[in-house]
Amino acid sequence: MTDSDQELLRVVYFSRFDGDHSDAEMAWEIDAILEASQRNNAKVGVTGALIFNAGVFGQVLEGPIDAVEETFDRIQMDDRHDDVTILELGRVQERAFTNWSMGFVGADQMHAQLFDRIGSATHFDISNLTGVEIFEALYALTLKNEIAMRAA
Amino acid sequence: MGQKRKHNSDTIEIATSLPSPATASNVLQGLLDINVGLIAVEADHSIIFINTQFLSLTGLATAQPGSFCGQTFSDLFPDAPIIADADTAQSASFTDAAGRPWAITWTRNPTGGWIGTLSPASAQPSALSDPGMTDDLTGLGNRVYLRHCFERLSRQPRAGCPDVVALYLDLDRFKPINDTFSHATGDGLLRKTADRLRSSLRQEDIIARVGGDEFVILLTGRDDAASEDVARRIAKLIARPFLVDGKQLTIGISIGLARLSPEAPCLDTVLQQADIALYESKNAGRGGFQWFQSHMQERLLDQQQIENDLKKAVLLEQFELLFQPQMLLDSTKITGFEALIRWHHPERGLITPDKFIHIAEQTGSIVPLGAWVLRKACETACDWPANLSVAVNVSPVQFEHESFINTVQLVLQSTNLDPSRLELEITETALLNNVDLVRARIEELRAQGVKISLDDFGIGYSSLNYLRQYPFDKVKIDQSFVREPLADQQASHIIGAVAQLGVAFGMNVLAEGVETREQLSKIRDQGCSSVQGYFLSKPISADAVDDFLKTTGGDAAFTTPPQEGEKEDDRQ
Repeated sequence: MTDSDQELLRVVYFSRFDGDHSDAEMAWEIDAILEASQRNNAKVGVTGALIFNAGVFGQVLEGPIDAVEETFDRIQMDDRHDDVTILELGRVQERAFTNWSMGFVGADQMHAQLFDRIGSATHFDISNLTGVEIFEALYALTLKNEIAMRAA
Repeated sequence: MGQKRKHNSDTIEIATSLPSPATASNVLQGLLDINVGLIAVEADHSIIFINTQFLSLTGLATAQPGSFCGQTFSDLFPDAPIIADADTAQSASFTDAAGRPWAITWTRNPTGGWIGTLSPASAQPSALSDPGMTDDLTGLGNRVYLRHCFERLSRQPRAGCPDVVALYLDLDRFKPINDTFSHATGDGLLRKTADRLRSSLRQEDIIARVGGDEFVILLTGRDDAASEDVARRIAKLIARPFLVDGKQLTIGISIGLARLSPEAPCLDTVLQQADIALYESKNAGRGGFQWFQSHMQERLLDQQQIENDLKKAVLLEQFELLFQPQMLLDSTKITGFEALIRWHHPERGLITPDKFIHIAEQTGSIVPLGAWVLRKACETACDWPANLSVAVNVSPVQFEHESFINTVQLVLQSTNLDPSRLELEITETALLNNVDLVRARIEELRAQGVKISLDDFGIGYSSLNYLRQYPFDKVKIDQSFVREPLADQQASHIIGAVAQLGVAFGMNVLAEGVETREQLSKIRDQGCSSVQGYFLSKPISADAVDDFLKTTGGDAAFTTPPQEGEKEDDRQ
């Protein structure tokens, strides 16, 4: 895929899990998303990153406009997501994420252990992400949200 | 394969035992993604393969395909009959967790076990293959398809009428998007909307696009609660952001529901009912759904009757103008009256404007009716002392009509009323569309000496920017801000802020709906310059104006508003 040939679109968004979910359901959900992301998105040239904790997702999608829009809409049709908020949307010159990565960014130790295997499977390295400004904001938001939820 | 939760990569490992691993892996990947529900089980009925389509159709898409390996088919669907050992091919039916019926055809796998293909249990309408039945833009069915499917449903043997719920759907705020962006963007949005709608439905449900941004869905075999679930899910999905042409678009959808019944036995009737419910749903606030109820039809008929009667009423002059005084707070002088319309219907009696003005706007009767009001108000004002003005409400439809300026000029000429004694009250709605035209009209009228007021300020959009953007002579604060309990600090702050801004922009600020001495005192403290409301007087007939002026001497000092610096406590 030669990115220089076509315009790239990047969307950064944030969504919540609808309803209460057990850790097992969360793990299923995250497996499903990771599997679908890697399988579907590689085919159409969409890369990005997904960070999650026990209640929220933050996701970056990058790629050709049509492919990103299609991927985004497929995710929108998933009934389990709620409160989908687009944080950033725009054309970009190059990708911030050339592969798929996924990582748990919650503050909860038990969850961290449960989901850590996914991080290692996708070579998720938080230090790679923090350099990207958009992701920093997303990261902070995801973390803040968990803390707020636990406080509630 | 025995573990309950595994990654997809494990599933692909099956392929490595086949002759050409690379090719087999591709084929397997294809089978995983194919648009047919597929499953393979071993001789002991444990699942070795289940594809994405199978899972999404039966509501199991929460998990990835690999995670089901090792479970048996009856673990997933307890009511499924055991696969018989003897047959080479067999069909069975089962229901999924959501209670949806399915049929599965098992074919013996030569290498052991069985391969199953999934199909919906109920008789399906034919697939969309006929171009005459397809909506080109979205790939959904069209009206012809809808009718065709409905007839198929009706032919199925059953007692009574088919179990069908019709949903009439209409996008909210689609037109502005189509107008603001290109039509290609609008088309893209419609396509994505169609995809989301389809994803909210079962395979046996019927969906068609029947107009620009209108869709119809026929649900079968669902009770009221299940139908509402569908409507709720659709409303939720459509309200989520869309990405089209690299832009974020947000719309909504309103839905009307109606069930096929002996009262609505055919497609046309049930669609008409769903459409009426949709209309109610839009009126009740967008983004929701409503079931059809018979009173809705009565109301609609009622409205149509009023429409017809309105046309006659303009001709027969069944209207009367009442006049409500306005007072300047500083001098306690009556400055003029607002003309308010009443309709004396020969059968229904007195009808207030909130019951008929919107209908007159929809049908266009507002133009001749508005012209009548203007003429009558100006004629009446000619009999008043020359220092009193008359305020006339102008509907946005009337204001934007090409004849409006001309009508005002003709009325002023023929009545010989000084243009500065005429005040035209327009609402914010008039400012929302056609900004340039409205602005030009306001300036043209003001150049002739006519005064322009902004009416009902505070409800609706109420941008303070309007006060800066348009050259109003007066701004009228909506009565809901005045009638709020005095304790409501927020309302009070708003009045104060608007009054200050008004003064800053050189406008007269009038508070509507003043009913009590306390309210009057408060309004005065907040810096409003004028008031109107029952505390001064209710709307009175043209004949009573003379008496009213005589009683008060044109000076409403009898209301004795508190003097500057005087506190409420001092007066008690």
